[in-house]
Amino acid sequence: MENEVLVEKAELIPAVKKMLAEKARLGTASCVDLGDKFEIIYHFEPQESPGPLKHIRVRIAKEDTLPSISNIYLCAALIENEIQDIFNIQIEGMALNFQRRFLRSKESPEAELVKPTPYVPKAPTRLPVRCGEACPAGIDIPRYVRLIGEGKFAESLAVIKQAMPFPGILGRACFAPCEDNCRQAKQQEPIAIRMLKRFAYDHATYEEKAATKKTGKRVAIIGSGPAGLTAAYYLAKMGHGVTIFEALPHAGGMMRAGIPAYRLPRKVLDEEINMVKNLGVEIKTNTKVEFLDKLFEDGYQAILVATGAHQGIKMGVEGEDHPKVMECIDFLRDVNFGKKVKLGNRVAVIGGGNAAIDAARTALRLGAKDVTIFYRRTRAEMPANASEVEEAIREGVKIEFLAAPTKIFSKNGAITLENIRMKLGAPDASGRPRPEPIEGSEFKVGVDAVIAAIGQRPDVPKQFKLEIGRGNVVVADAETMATSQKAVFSAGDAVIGPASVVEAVRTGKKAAISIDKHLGGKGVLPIEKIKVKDLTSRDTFIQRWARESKRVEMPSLPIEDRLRGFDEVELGLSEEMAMAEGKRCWRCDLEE
Amino acid sequence: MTVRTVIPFGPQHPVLPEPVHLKLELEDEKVVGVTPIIGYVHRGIEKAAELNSFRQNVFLCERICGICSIIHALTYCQGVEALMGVEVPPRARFLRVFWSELSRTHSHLLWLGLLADCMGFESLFMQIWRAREIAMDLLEMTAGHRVITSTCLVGGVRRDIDKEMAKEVDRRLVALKEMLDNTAAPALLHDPTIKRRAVGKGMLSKEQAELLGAVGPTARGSGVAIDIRQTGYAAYKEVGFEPVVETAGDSYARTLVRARELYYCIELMRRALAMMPDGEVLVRVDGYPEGETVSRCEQPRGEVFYYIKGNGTNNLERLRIRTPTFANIPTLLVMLPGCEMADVPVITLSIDPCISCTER
Amino acid sequence: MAWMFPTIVKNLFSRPATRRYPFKDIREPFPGYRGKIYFDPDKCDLCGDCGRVCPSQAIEVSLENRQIKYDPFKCIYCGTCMQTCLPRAISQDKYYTKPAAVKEAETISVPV
Repeated sequence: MENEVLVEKAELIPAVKKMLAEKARLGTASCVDLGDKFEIIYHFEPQESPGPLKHIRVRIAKEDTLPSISNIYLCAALIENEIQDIFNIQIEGMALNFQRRFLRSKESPEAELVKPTPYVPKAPTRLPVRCGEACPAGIDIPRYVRLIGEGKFAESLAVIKQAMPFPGILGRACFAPCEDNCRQAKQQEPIAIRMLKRFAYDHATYEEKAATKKTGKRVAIIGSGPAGLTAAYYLAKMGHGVTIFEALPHAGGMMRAGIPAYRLPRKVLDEEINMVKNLGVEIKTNTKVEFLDKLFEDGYQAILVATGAHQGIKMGVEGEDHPKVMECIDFLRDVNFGKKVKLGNRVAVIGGGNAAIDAARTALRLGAKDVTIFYRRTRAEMPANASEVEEAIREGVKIEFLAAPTKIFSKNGAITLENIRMKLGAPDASGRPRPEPIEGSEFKVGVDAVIAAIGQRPDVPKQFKLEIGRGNVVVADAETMATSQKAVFSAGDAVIGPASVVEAVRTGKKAAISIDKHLGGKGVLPIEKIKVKDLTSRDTFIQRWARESKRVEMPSLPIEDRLRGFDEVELGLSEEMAMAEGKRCWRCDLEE
Repeated sequence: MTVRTVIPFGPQHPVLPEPVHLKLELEDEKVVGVTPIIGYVHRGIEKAAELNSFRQNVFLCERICGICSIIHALTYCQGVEALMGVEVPPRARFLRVFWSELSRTHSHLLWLGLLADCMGFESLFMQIWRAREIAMDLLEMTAGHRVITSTCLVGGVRRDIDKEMAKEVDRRLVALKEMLDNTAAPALLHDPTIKRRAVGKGMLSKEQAELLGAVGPTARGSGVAIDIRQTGYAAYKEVGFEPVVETAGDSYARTLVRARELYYCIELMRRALAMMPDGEVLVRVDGYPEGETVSRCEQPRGEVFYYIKGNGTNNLERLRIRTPTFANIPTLLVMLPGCEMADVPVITLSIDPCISCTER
Repeated sequence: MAWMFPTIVKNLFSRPATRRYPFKDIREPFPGYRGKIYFDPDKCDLCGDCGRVCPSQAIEVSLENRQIKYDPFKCIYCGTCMQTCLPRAISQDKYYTKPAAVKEAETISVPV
C-alpha cells in the first residue's frame, strides 16, 4: 500500500508520537496472522482529511508482547482490547484494560481467530466437462471453443494440437460424440464443436517442431490410416526413425479409401499427411508387408500393426457373387482412387451405417438416378450420423426401412433383388430390437447394381502369427496395445473393430507411448507447452441471462452443384459466425 | 454523603436497538464513570470471510448489519475491485449511490423514530416510522427485499432501474418529503420537549472529537467537517456533495445533522436518478484478488473501514472491518460522565449505536 | 390548555391512521421480490453449479442419486442460484417461504 512504513517493535511508540505531532487521527488497527508471526498495521488519517491514509506496519513473533499506543491515542484502547481478545496477543501498558473480558465473558467458550491448522487456500481447479469426457482424444474443448469466440484462432489451434495431431481431418470427418454430450443439447442447440475445429484449422497455422535429437531406434508401422499416422507423428517427434508401409498406392488408409472426397477433400488429407512426412517419417506406398520377421531382420526394433478393418462382411444371401453385387468398401476404394465404376441408374444399398450412406451419396454423384437404401430396422436404430442421413435424403436418396434382402436373381444382365419385410421384436445383444421377418411379405425390386454395406472386419494376414480374437480383431492390451508377439503392437480398427477416426487416434496415442517405453524412452508424449492466457471465471450474471442463442448453420452447396462432382459439401464458417458460435459456449469447466 | 452505585445500562433495555452493556457508576443521580462492554452479538464474520470464496463474501458482508447493509457490500466490492483492477461502469456507480442514499434515508428515519421513542414521544415515533415504510417500499420495489437488498456484486450491480420505475421512485420520494415536512420537521425544530431533553446534553467539543477519533454525525455535530463522501467514491463526484455540519456539539446538534442529512439524501437520490447515463450495469471480473488495500465508505453512522488482503486464490487472506460505532464508543467515555441518569438513553442513542456492526 | 382544543377536535374527527389489515389494504409484494426458490426437474441437468455458488450451502446436488436437496431454512434468498443456472431451471417466487413446524430440507428428483 502506499504511504506505508515498516517499523520494528521498539520504534513503534516514537513513530506513533510523530503521527500525533502531525495531528493525524487514528483510524484503526488490523491484525493479520502470517503463520509464524503476527502483523499489526495501524492506519492513520492525516489532518487534511479525508485524504490518503498513512500506515505503520509492525511484525511480532507469536509469543511476543506488543507495546500499547493507547497512552497516545485513547481510542486505541478498545481496538487493542479486541486484538488481545481475539488473537491472544499480550499488549502491555494499556490505558484501559478489560483483562480479556472485552469481547468475551466468563461463560464464553475459548476460541481464537488464528488460522486453523492446516489451512490451505483452495487453488483454482477446472471441473470435468461432459464434452471433454466424451471426446476419445481428450481435447480441451471448452478452452478452444472460447478462444475462437474471442478471435484468437492461432491459440485455439494450438490448444487442439496439444491433444491430437489432425484437426483438419477431424474437423471434417469426426462424428462428434462431444456435441451429443454438450449441455446445451437438451435444448437442441449444442455448440458446433466440429465446425469450429475445422474453422481453426482453415484460419490459422501451427508450427510443428521436429525432434532435435534422434534416438537411433527404428519403428515400422504397417498401415497409414489414422492410427498409424498418429503413432508416426508422436514417435517421430520423440526422435525415433519411423517408416510406414502402405499397401495401397496412396497413404491415408480408410480416410482416403473410405471417406468420400465430398466429406474430406483430398487436399486437406494430403496436407496433413505431408505434415507428418515433414517430421521425418518415411511412407512407402505400394508396399505390402508379408512377414513380420523380415521387418525385424531389416533393423526395426518395434512394429505397429495398424491395418484397419477393410474386409466387408458378406450378407449371406444367395446370388451374392454376381459381379454387379459389390462390397461397399471395395466400391468406395475404387471410386476414391479414381477407377471408373459403372453403376447404372438404379442402385440398391443394403445397410444402415455411415459406410452405407457414403456409398449411396457416392452412387448419386456417379450418375445413378435412383438410389435406395434398404435397412432392416427403423430410423431410430440406424447407426449412421443423423446429420448424414438428413443430407442423404436431401440429395435424393430413398430409404426403405424394415426391409432385408433374401435372394438376388440375375437374368440376361438384369438383377432382381428380393427383399422381405421385417418387424421389430425383442432387443438383441446390441440392445436394439431384433428384426424378425414377416412371413410371405417378399417383394422384388429391379436394380442395376447392389452394394452390400452391412459391416466391416479387420483382415490381418495369418503369417503375422498374431492372436486373433472375436470379430477378427487383433488381441491387444487395452492400455499398452501390445499383442501376443514381443515388440509387436497394434492400434486402430485392427484392435477395436470398425470404429471412427478419433477412436483410432486415441489408440494411436496409446501405442506411441507404449512403443516409446518399449524402446527405452520415458513414454511421455512430446507436446509443446503453449502460453495461452485463459479465463479463470465464467461470464457475469447478466451475460448468462442472455436470450437463448441458436446453433450456427453451416452453409453448404446447393443440391444441383453437389451432385455434379465430388466437391466439398460444407463450405465452412465465416469469421463472424465462428466467433458468435464460440461465444455461446457455457464453459462448464470453470468454477464460478 | 454521596453514594456510589453501579448500574448496568443494557444489555437489554427498551430504548437500545441492540445489546450493549454500559456499566454506569453513579453518585446519587449523576454519572461519574462508564465502562462499555460489548460482545453480545459477536458472530465471527471476519473468520467466516476467510472460508468463503471472495464472490460469496458479498452476501456475508451484507449481513453484518441490517440497516447499513448495502454500504457494507459496497465497501467490500470497492475494495476487491481496486485489488483486481476492475472498472465499474458509470450506470452502476450511480445506482450504487442511489441505493446508498436510500439506505441512509432508511437508517436516519429509523433513528429519528427511536430517538422520539426514547424520549417518550410515541406518536412522533409512529409517524416517522410510517414515513420509513415509504423508504422500505422503495427498497422492495427496486431491489427485491426490504432490508437486505443484495444488489451490489463485484463488478457492478445486479439490478437495473428502468424509466417507469424511476418515475415511480421519484413520485414516492416527493411523497416522503411531504410527509416529513408535515411531521418530523416541525417537531424537531419547534417542539419544546425535544429541545429540553436534547440541548446541552452530551457535550463533545471539537478537540475531543478529533482526539477520540469520532466519525460520522457524531463528529459533524461538533464542527469537524469530515465525510468520506467528499473523496468521491462511486458517483459522488458527479452528483456533487457537501458535508452537513453543526457546531454546537450536543445531542440536539447531532439530531439536527441527521435530520438535515435526511433531506439532503432525498435530494441526492433524485439527482442521481436524473443524471444516470445509459449502459450496462455489470462487467466481467476475471482472476483472483492479490495484494492489500483499504476501502472506506460513509455509512449512516460514520466511516466504515475495510482492510482486504488477498493471496491470489479464491479465498481472501484477511478481511478486517472497523465500523463507525466502534470508533464512536470512546466518545461515550467523555460524554456520559457529568450528566444525569435520565439523560443517558438520549446521549447513548445520539451516537446511533449499531452494535451488531461493532462486533461483527 | 386552550391551545390544545383545535388539536383534540381535529384528532377526534379524522380517520384512523392505521390500515385495516387483513380486511382491506393488503399490498401484494412488488414484482421482483425474492421469495421461495423452485426447481424445475425437467430442465435441470445436474451440473451442480447452484450448489457450488450458494453462499450458505443450502443446495446439495447429487449426480449419482439424481437428486437436489434444498433447505429453505438455510437459504438466504439472495437469488444467486437463479442467476447462475444456465438451463434456467431455477425460478424465484414472489411469496416468501411459508412457516413450518419442522426444519427440514426438500428433495427434488430429476428424471433421466
